[in-house]
Amino acid sequence: MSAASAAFDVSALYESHAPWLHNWLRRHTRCSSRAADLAQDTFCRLLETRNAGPVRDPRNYLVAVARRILIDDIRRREIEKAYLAVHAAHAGEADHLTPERIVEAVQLLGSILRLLEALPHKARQAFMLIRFDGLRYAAAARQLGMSERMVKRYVAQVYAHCYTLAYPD
Amino acid sequence: MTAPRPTPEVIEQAAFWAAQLATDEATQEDRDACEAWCRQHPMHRLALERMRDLEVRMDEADRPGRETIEHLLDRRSRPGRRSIGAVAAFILLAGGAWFGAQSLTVRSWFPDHETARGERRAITLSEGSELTLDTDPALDFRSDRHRRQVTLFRGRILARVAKDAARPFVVRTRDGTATALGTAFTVRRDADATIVSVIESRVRVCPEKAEDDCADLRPGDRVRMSGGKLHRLEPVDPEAAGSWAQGWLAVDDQPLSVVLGELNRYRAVPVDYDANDLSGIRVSGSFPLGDPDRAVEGAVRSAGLRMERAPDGALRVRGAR
Repeated sequence: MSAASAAFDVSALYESHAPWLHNWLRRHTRCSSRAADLAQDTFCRLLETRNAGPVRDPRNYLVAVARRILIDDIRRREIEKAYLAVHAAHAGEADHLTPERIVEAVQLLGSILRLLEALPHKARQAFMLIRFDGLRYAAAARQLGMSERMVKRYVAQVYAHCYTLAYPD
Repeated sequence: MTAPRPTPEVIEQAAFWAAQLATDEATQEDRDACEAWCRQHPMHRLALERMRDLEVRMDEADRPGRETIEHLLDRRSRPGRRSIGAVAAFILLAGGAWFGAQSLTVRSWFPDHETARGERRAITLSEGSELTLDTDPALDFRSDRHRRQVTLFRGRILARVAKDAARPFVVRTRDGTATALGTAFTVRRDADATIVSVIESRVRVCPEKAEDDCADLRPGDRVRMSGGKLHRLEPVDPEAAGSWAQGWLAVDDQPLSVVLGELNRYRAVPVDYDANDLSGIRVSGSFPLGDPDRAVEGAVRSAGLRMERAPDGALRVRGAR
């Protein structure tokens, strides 16, 4: 399918459904300009993906794409708010946060969160004590109330999980 | 020449080594043994190096970044109000690869999403149903080929269910289930009971551990499920049952203390009152949930009472004496 006809499909979708999509997004974001941005992002995403043939149920399809974009947007905002709040809480440390640094941080934290968020609680706790807090296995075992061997097994479990997510060969 | 893709077994072994070497307790022996394993096959080395890349990525996060991650993952215990910001919910939509079906989790641990205390949020599920979440919710949603299920731990939802005869839509709480084929109904899980109200079409409710006592409900019906028992409550106007989702609490001749209790759910700082003090006082009206102060004021004034401000700044309502 040539780029020209893919673009044609999207512009037809845009003409028929853009206001509707904007409304749908506005209900979920309650901010009209944000909804407008996300609607644009949705159609841009459509332009980037080559579609084979006409879409059977355009609204469902649009909503599916928009939802993913909305979720990503929500996640980014969550992370940014939390990151800025942490910085504010440590107000003593003179840290110069430029917009670029914030965007970078949000991207990095987002990718790390994606790796860690779907883990069972205990496994993630073990991993974070070892990797983020730099504890030794003995200390982590004491804190978690389990054997060193269990902690190590959990940590290995998390490594394997992250690997599978990051390299879904 | 490229190394073949590491198999699950190799990944598991590489993970074992990564864990083994993760702290400074690792000895030279450990490192030699790991190197020996890597040399066995290019696939081994590739797997381990990729894990190291992940480590590097995580190490890139500075201390504020790591703290942010910890907060977002709710690692620390949270005794009441957090230092970081307002309590809110984070909507996590996990994709098919992990669960083989759609799933959704809403928890009110994560910082600053919109269903904070006092707000309502709409979610559209992938199969077309819509959930409106009331303040401070906690729920899971799973769907696969055979069913769609919301597990509601806390809070209130209004479900507008897309018709799908092959997959019943079920809301489950600790007290039982409410099943619909294609309707609109609300489920609310409080400290000790679950209340189901039907807005449109029919819903079948089954108390936990007492499936013989199921009941089929129609619009306006309301039941309370608790401890394996089902109690029918006074029917409601179906429109009113769902009006909170529009942002209004519609009340028809209810005790003021009950209304204040309900409005307090939407307030970060609850209004102080004594139910005994207010007994016998009833109100009717529509109170805007989006403006909790106006809502309380409206309820109190329509009862012919006034609000006071206590020395500590809290709002208080007293019965007329």
